[in-house]
Amino acid sequence: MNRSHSPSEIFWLVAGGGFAFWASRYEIGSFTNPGPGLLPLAMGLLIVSFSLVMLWGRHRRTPAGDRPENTPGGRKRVAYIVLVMVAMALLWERIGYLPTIFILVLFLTGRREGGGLRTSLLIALGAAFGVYLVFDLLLKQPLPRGLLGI
Amino acid sequence: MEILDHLVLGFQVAVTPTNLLFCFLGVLTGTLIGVLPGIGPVATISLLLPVTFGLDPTTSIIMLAGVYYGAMYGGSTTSILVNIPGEAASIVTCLDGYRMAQKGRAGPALGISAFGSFFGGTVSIIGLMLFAPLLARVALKFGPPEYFALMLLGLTMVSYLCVGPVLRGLLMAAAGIAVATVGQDPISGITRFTLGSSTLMDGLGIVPVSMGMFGIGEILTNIEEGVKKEVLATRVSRVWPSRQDWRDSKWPIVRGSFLGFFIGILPGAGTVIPTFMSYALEKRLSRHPERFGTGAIAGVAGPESANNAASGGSLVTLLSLGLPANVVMAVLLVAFIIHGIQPGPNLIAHHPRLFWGTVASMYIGNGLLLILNLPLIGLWVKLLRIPYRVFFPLILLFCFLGVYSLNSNIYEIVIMVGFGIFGYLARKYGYEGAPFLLGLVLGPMIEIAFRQSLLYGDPLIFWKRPISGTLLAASAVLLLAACIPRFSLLRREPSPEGGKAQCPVSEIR
Repeated sequence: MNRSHSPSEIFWLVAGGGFAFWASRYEIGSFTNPGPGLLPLAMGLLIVSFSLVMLWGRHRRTPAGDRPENTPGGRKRVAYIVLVMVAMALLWERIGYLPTIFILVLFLTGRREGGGLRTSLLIALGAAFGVYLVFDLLLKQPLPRGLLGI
Repeated sequence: MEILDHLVLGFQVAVTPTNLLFCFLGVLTGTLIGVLPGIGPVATISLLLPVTFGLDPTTSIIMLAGVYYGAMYGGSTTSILVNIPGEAASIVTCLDGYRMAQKGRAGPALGISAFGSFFGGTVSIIGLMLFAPLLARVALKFGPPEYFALMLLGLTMVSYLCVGPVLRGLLMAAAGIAVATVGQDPISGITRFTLGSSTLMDGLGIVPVSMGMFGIGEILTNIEEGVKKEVLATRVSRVWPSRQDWRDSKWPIVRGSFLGFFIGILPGAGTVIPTFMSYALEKRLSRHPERFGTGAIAGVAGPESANNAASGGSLVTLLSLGLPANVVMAVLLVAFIIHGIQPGPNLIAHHPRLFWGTVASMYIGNGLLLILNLPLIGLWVKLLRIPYRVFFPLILLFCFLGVYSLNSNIYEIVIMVGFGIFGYLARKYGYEGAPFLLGLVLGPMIEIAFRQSLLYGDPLIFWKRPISGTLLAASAVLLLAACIPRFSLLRREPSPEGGKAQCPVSEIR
């Protein structure tokens, strides 16, 4: 019997169970007079059922495609990108969109990603200017100026 | 004839300078994103939604529809020159298109792809013109049980056609419907699962979720896998196919077009499945099936016609029933709703200028694409040489800008990033995003239809009414068929090595 680690099925089991529990706190109603909690409860229970079936199936065999592929350095790159995005979300309204764009593009095209500093600076400046031109001047989208007012 | 009168009206709408300009911008953008792997029509249409706020609804739909069918044209370029599909619907084109390019026949491959796409697009536009009004009349007989059953069929179909176990697709669909219940209940008005957040009271927007899952999720996946593309170092010279190429392609183009259109109408079928079916059909009918996979032009002509025809077919379901046939249509539905228009059986009657204007613009757009694609191949090749490390920050940037532009709400960016991580993890563990997004879009409609049906007083009403009973039976048959390997030819299974979809057509003898 294969008892391989099944993080995704366990995740869905917990998520579905939690959702069903939460849904049960709303009015369920009946099959002839359904309340707002009926469909969410049904979906939560379905998710639990599906994940139980998948967990049971996994114990009988190891389905292909369940083991995620890990490339060398891949996870670190992904974590880096996520950190940059989180930083951007935090800075976006605080320092304004233009500096944030500049910093984002600079970090994402920088040395860590195989680029030279000059190229990254040029791309970052070009991106910031392009966004200003298209989104601010032409399309007049309301973008945050931040504390710097730019 | 009434249809000709409507078409004249449509062309009067489509040939205004504004609509012509936005049709051109739409097809150009669509071709561009089709060429460039890493961003698709879902993320692009989501991104362009805020741009359409200041536009007339007809102009908006013309542009966004142009992005969709334009992407079908562009996807083949990358498949043929780089062996990486620009769009999911161009996966099959890699099989023979790239082989043709390796043999120095990239030009004819690109040329027949463009002509096939044009013919497929034309067939689908004519089909849209003829079938949408017909289907709209039938749909007037639909009540809540029929709509519920049809949406359930769509979700079942999408789940059935996913890579990997059907259960995973169904689970994602259920998760999408569950997440769609966040916010205000459409019937009683009470708020659910909002944690007291005013952002969540409006629900989780389709745009942040779709851009997160399909934009950011795709980028994170590509970054981790370290996708490297090498554009085939071949001169793309003569793109006009030879007489033999035309002889070999003409019937695959015709068959692919009709197949693509009718399959595209089915909820959940999308544009990918018609291409696989077309390839399998051509291989079966060919006198030289052994040539498929080594550079057979029919293996390019049929699927490329099919994917463009399917894009028009899917518009039939959206415009006449108000139901998205696939994920792209789901986002297009959002565009309609944002502009205060409800697609459905009454769309053609209440908004004839929009419907016929869109149809007419598709004729124009189809012609523009044929003219654009061939001369601009050199430009697309140059674009393909842009390193991904330069390209993906710009996509991320557009995602941020697009989402923020909707409501100037930073929390929607947080939602987008969150779903980006979710989309990345889902791909990693072998779950497809399409059922989730379709569940999210259809969730409110499913809930309303479901609860209204139950208010009739009979829980078995879905089975007692003939149309909804038939549709539910079709869903049940699909689920049963998934359990029987002989009937699973249309499905793509992950390879034993881990996670990559195998094309089932290689198993066709």
